[in-house]
Amino acid sequence: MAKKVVIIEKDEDILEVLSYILIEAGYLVACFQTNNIIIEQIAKEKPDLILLDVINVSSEGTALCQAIKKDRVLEQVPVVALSTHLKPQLIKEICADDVMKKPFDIDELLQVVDNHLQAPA
Amino acid sequence: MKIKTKLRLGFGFLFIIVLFFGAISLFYINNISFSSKIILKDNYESLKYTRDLRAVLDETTLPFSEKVATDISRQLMLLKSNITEVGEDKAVASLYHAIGRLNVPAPDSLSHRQFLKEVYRQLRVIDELNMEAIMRKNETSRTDVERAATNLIIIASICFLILFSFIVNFPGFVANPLKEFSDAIKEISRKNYRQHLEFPGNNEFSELAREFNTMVFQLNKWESSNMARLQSEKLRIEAIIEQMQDAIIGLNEEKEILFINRVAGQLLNMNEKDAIGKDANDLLKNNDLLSRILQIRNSDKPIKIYADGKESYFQLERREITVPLYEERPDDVIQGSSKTAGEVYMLKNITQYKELDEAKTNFIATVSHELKTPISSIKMSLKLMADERIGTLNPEQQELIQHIREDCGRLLKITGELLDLAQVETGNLQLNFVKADPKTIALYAIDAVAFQAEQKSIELELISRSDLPAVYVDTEKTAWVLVNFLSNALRYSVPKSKVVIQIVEKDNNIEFSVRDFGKGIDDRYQKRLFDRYFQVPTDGNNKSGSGLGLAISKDFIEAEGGKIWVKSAIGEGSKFCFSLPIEAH
Repeated sequence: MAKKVVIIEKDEDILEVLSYILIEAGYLVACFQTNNIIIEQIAKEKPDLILLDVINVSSEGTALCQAIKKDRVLEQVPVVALSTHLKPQLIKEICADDVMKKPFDIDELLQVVDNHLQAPA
Repeated sequence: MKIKTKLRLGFGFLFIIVLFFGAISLFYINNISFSSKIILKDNYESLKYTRDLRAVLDETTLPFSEKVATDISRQLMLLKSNITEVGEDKAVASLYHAIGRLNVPAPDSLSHRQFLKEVYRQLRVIDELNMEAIMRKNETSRTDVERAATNLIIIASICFLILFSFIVNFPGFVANPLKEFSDAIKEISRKNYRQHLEFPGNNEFSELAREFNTMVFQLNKWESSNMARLQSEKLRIEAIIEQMQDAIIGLNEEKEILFINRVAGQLLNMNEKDAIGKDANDLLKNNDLLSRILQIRNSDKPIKIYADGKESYFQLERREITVPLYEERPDDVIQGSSKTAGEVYMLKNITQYKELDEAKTNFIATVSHELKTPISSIKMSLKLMADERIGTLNPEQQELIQHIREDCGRLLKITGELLDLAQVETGNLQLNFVKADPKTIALYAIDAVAFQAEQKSIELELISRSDLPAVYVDTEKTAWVLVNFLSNALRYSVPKSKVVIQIVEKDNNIEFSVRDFGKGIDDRYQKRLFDRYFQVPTDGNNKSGSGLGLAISKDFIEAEGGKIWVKSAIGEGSKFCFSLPIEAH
């Protein structure tokens, strides 16, 4: 059964490209273009992996990420943060399972997604 | 009257008393001596004369011989001249007469014997008179002596009393004022400046007292003016402290609160006026914040306190106040040291700085996002375009894609550098130190520029041992610096030349160097190479840099505890070096 990836990304172009790549790689994709979504909507998608765009490392910036981790339904779902921040490791410390620096290589991204989905739940 | 005069008079008086007493004594002694000696002497003489007369009369027989008659006449003359008593002259006259009758030849022996008896009787009268006189005079003398003695005793007593009271009172003249002075001065040394001495009269003491009073007055004035000055200084300092926007708490050596300003009171939620003088240890039992402040030893981290209606950050500063303490040692060496006079705690409100800091960080993050997001998009799209699944590209298209890719790469590089610099400037540089092998870092960097080097047919030569000691650095950043050096070297080398990378162990460091054989750098630019935005003015060939690469390299290396430098000469190429400390356990 194909794995479901939820992408939360503000930039339209990147969102489009990401979803195209992932679909091409054989994943099911659900896209959200805004941060103002509630956890329930994400949970409804039943994701196996979440790709989350993070701008700031502050509490507001990582609010959604932390919320996901705190949610009983979603806490097991691996979260890979995509960030332009200069210190992305901090995001990993705060709430993400992995971080990819933007701009990233597409192949690399696919590799990371694959890794996290392969890992036993 | 002057004390000197008084003293002179006093002693003079003493002298007079003594003289007086001596004189009276002498007088009485004279009296007695005279009365007992000389006057008595007459009586004794008379007695002697009568005795002699009697002796003569006893010895002789009548009628008197010439010698005897002369003797008797002489004795009678002596007697006559020695008449001292009342009635004695009558007796002497009678004696005379009786003896004259003796001398006349008598009619019969009976009248002769009667005349003799008469003589003897007169002699006896004279004797008795004189003896009575002697006894009387003795008695008189004795009573005189008694009286004299009594008088002398009385006078002596009086003199003694006078002298005694003099001895008791007179020194008081001098000593009492002195004692008063001494007492007053003692009071002054106890800082009691309200002494006032009054000595009536016009003598040295009253003058001294006047001067003394003046001195005390001046001392008092000086003290109060000093006090007034200190008081006003204290008030001024208190006003300043009160005014300050930072919280200030001062403690003395005994940890009692000396001063605490309004801001501190607000922060700690205490009434400042009440807190002054209280023992800090007592207060901190009820006040968590105070106990935190007083017990913090590491004051590097800001303290979060709710103030001004929001979470505020405060920087704690603790200062110990020392005052100089001068001790005199036994060997007259003054030892200067200092002793503590309390502590001052200051809480600086750095919320504004923190907020500014946060704003800067946010700004950089936002800028980073805004710049890198489109670039990411371009890059990803480019990648997709190169993917044949979407469609193949003809060679021209491929070439165009390549150009876009190169430009995109350059854009990314520049934005990366700018953002790195911005980070460095805000002090946000974060290094991940790990233990790393120098050669590995170099190999990584060489690998990164291998393609570029190949394109220009430049040989990259690495000279390094394989067993170099490890360094404790951020590998990514160190590699970045090496890549920067290599890129520069490649840019300024002619095709088909060589770039040498060398790693050596030197002193306690690992020295990395990148040597190129290009045209070298002029002396005057070498110093400024590592400055921000500095680019060596060239013939316009190599304008692709931003002037930031070396500056950032310098920041990175120095943040890792290393040194960075360049050796170059025109026509001889350049050697860029940096050294990093060997990892010490």
